[in-house]
Amino acid sequence: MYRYDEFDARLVSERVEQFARQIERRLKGELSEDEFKPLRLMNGLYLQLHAYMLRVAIPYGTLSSSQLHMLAHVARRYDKGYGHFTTRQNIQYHWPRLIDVPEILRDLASVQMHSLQTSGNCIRNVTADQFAGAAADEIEDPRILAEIVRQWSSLHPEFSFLPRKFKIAVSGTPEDRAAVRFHDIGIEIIRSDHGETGYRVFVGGGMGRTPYLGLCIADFVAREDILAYLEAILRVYNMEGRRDNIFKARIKILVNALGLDNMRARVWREFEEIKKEGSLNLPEQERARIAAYFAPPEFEPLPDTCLEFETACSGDGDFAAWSRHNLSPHRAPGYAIVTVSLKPVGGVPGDCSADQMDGLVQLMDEFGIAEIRVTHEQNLVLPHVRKKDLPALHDQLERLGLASPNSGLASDIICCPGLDYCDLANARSIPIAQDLSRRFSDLDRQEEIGELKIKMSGCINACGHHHAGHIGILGVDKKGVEFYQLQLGGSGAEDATIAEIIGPAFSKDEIVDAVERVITAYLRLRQPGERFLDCYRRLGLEPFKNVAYLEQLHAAY
Amino acid sequence: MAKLVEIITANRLRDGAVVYWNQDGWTGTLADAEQFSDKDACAAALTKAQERVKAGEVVNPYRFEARLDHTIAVPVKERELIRASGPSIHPELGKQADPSTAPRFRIAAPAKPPRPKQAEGPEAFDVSL
Ligand code: SF4
Repeated sequence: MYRYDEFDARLVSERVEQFARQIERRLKGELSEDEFKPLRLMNGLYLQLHAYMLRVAIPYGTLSSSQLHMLAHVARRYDKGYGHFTTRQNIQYHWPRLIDVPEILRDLASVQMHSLQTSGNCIRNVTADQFAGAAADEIEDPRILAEIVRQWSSLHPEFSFLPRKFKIAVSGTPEDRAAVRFHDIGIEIIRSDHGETGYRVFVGGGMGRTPYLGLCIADFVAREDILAYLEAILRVYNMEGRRDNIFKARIKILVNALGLDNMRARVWREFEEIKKEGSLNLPEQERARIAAYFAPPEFEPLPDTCLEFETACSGDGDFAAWSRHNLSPHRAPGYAIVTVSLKPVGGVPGDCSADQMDGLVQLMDEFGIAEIRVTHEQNLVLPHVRKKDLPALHDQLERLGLASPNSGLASDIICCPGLDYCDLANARSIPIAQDLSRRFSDLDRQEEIGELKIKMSGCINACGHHHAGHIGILGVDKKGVEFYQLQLGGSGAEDATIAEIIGPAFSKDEIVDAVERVITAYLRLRQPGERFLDCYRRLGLEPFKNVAYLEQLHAAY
Repeated sequence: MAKLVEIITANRLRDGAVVYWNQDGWTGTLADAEQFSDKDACAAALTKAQERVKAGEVVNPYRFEARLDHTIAVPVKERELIRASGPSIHPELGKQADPSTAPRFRIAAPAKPPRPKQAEGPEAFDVSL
């Protein structure tokens, strides 16, 4: 995995000491709050309802076991014993004290971690497919490009004051697990008809108040041109993006205002200029140097079928259920990708205790697993696991409370912190997610329902990706009281769509029942093999809307 | 109708903890907060509280409304109920976990308890196309 070079390491430690001094000056009253706040945010430190919140970057969601151990240490020593993994593949701590932050940042820096570029109007932490380097159908490890982009964008002098924040995601497979079309720039690694690897670039996707799907601005960008092309997009945005209205400042608004063709033409002009200068050509040698950091571990030559594993799968025990949902095909024979669900029944989606993190560290050491990944669906992934180790690994996950067999099912809910923590929230989101997860806790019922992505946000900022939920729930505030808008038919995958709002919001006592009615309707209306999303696409909003509101209609008459 | 009062709150600079204005300083307990029934008095106190931002005591003081239930101030908005208590999903964390800071009210359960699996409800619907 990528290791910081000296430049990165020096930069991070200098920034930590600078920020430590700035905190000291603020505490003494030498810096005003207005002067201090932007500095605090630049270092990933927010102030929320009950305390500060520190957001720590996990580039492309990849962690070594020593980094995970450090995250556990921070949770235990400076926080309240847990951390929250987010849809940005980062971790957030909800209780750090300002006076402890310098120590926290020093500890993190000792394992090459930091909180830079997790806030502010800059290019944020680049996200990537959590199955990178392991997925069976992968064209190229997306983290190579993600890291190249990270190096190019880190504190880029031209782009440190963009109109608004800027998010880039990279996927290396036709199956999209990185929600590329919901990012300011989404990159899909593709192979041309001539067998050449390059990039398809989408621009202007995003969620929030005005959700848009990214549009394809370039069908194929050659490897050596990608930085020049990205720089061209950023230049156009930096020059033309609106700065007068925070709600209209993202690139999606610009793309929409200019129109795709116009945007493409402008980007092309910039691109040609940059190409002429030649400074942003990405030499193959440099690409290969970075690629080497992401070289997969040496896989043992194993037969693809493994008797112990097959036998354990054929039972009807917990292992069999878990293996049905939480394993994915690996490129190397005899290996599997394991999704570690952070969605126990009635739990807080994405939360992980320090003890669980350390338990995972032990397990990684024991089974020789060098890396762990954070997913935008708020789960963890062990990318390279020998099939023969799976039964023993499952036992240990069970002991840690991390063996929920629900990946991709109804109780695998994405959920933002909402009003239980977040200063911007309109309504609580976690309690609703918990109730839904209890309501659908029965595994037989979840299996009958099949793939279902429920996503929930506590306000229009959409950190919980509700626009991309097969079923999306948005918390709204009506005169200080929590209400919940129901949206249907979204997808963050390769068949991306934006969910449609079905009508007036439900009260907190009604929303879970309404979701259940919608799902029950689906079970009755579906054709063989149809997922909820397919069924919705075939039938449209109407039948689901009718049942969702039925109970209220009965009550009204 | 219950009487409305105003309360001044902020977050403490050094650790971010929720605090409330009382006379000339801050308390971590809503029950000990000064209750203002006079708008001007509240505005004057808020000006004083704002000076404490400069001194490095607190961040972002503001006022919010609470209903008086006998002598207990119960915030009108969910947000302030949660700030006064702690995360509703973690009763073991935040002010609610410590008897000396716990509010004297409880946040309503966020939603109905889950129904058993074989719910009678959904069976009753007629799904017509
Ligand atoms: S969606 Fe809103 S409530 Fe949820 S974490 Fe983001 S800003 Fe906070």
